[in-house]
Amino acid sequence: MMDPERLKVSNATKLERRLLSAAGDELPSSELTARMRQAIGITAVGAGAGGSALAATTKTGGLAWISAGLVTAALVGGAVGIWSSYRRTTAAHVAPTAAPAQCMASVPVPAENPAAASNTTRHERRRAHAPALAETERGDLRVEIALVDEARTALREQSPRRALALLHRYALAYPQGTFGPEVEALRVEALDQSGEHRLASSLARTFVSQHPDSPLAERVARSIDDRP
Amino acid sequence: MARGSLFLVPVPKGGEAAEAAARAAVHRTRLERMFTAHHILVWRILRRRGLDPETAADATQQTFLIAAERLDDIASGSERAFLIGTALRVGYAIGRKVLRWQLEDDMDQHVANARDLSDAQSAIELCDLVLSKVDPALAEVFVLFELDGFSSIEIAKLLEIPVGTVASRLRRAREQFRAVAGRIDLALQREGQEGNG
Repeated sequence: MMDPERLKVSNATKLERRLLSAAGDELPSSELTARMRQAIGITAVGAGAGGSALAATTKTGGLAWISAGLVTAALVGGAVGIWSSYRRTTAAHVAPTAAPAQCMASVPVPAENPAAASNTTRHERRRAHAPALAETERGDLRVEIALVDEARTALREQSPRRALALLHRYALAYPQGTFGPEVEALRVEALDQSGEHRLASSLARTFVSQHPDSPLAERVARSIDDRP
Repeated sequence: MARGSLFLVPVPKGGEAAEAAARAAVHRTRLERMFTAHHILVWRILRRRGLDPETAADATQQTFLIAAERLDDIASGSERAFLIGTALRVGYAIGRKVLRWQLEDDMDQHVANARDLSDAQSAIELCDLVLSKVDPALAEVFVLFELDGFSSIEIAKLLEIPVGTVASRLRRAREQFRAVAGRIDLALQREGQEGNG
């Protein structure tokens, strides 16, 4: 299928072109970019973007990256504490997919870069005035991912009951979780896979009506439409 | 690796440690490259969902943190698709929970405040105002196509919808966008600003 011409280069009015160009050219400020790099753990202030990672890795013998994930997690909310409290809440059923990056990011290595820590402290102070994500939400992120991941894996392995149990745990632990819609979509699939077609259809309809603009709505709707 | 040990992974020793460090360095470099190549696009897509710059930055961070967790699962060459798909979901979740559209409903007042459209910030704010009036599912396709240069096929894959749906959403999004932009144009002309040429 041939794409139409972009509005900006075809028959846009002068105003439309101006609006589209301005929005399409918008850049994050250098401060925001530095902040993002810091939070992700790839900070190299003053270094060129391309070489900064290598430079930092060389200086710290690779340990910086091992600690990066944990530093990030710790800085945004005390991940270990959250994990401990999460384990108390959800028993021992979280079995992360154990991707190496995830595991390495989780090794409790002390911060290698005190400057980064101090920068982040300033950043945290700035964030106190910003309408941003709650720190604990971000700290919980990896645990949420682990649960959703395992539910997906269970579905792939044709274990809908296990998937449903995991999704139930997620809903209990994270009633306002980041992946709420994903969990609901997975629940539809799990119910369908377990033979609860009527319930799956009902949930799917509810999902689509409650989240009409979700990227998942189309998929959920299709999953029940496609069923013979 | 023992299961259920998300934060309690024993530090490897000897050769294993060297191997882990090497692998960590590779991951870090890859994440760095992904960030350098795509963070502006990710941030901008989140901005066009109505998030303010700071919150868009937070959501961008979250997107890359998810990517960091998933590096081994992201096929080479599909980094951009992964990041955009993740950003859309993160943005959706944030919008649902915290932010909502923070744009004023009173369009005429907003237009009156945009005194100088040669100023990029005013133009950006007006663009976001217009987009806020477009149905969100349509606006998503519009932004990806018109502002970020994705093809219909790429958008279909990102949003997991048929290509025909992308085309129809784009067509309707354009109609809505242009209708609102037309209203703004008239308002600007009333204000004595340069409008449509």
